[in-house]
Amino acid sequence: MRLTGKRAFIWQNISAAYLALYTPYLAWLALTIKTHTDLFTPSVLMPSLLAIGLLLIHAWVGLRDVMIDYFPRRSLAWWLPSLLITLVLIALNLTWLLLKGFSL
Amino acid sequence: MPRQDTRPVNLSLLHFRFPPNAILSISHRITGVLLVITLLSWLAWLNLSLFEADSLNRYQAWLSSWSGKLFLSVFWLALALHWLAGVRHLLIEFCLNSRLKAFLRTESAVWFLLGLWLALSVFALARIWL
Repeated sequence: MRLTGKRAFIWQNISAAYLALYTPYLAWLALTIKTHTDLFTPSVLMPSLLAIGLLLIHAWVGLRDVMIDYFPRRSLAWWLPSLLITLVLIALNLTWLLLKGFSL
Repeated sequence: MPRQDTRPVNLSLLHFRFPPNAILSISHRITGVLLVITLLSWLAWLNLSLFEADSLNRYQAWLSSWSGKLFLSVFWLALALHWLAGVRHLLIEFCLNSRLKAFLRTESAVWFLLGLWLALSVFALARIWL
């Protein structure tokens, strides 16, 4: 997938805006939640799933920027696809965990 | 390959004096990478918990240990700084109030933000370690 600078900027900011709102909610959850089963209520699960999806995009653009800025130019040809493949695998793994969690 | 040009190169970062904005900017990047690493270890634990029934208890026991508390501290402190610096970025980019925008670019805003981070850090560390 080719992500141009402008599109990367837009996605980085859309995800950042949501995560900026979600982070205080996460901190509040960490302070107030009593048992792990509370995490599987829809009011916690839905915003958290959206946050995880946007977090993957946020991490993709952020790590991509770090790699482009600091890694040797020639090695980017395999670093950037490796990063993308890793994030896709993480997304698949998370989907699998979610399906498995629901079936428990 | 030997360098072609003869200009002197100084790669010792200790010889530069960076403005607070630059320090905040690189801290934003460093904490971002730290967050990715800590989140990956959480993902690894989530995967383990599906294979071993006992892993949830072991994980909770680990979080009460010295290394577990250190892990939690790194996560929450990095998240706090990344969030504060990120909100500053977003406001500079999209806030319509030009006076607030101008303030956020100043050195005082960076010190104010670091003060907020310190306060949040003290609260988080007290919750984790005490």
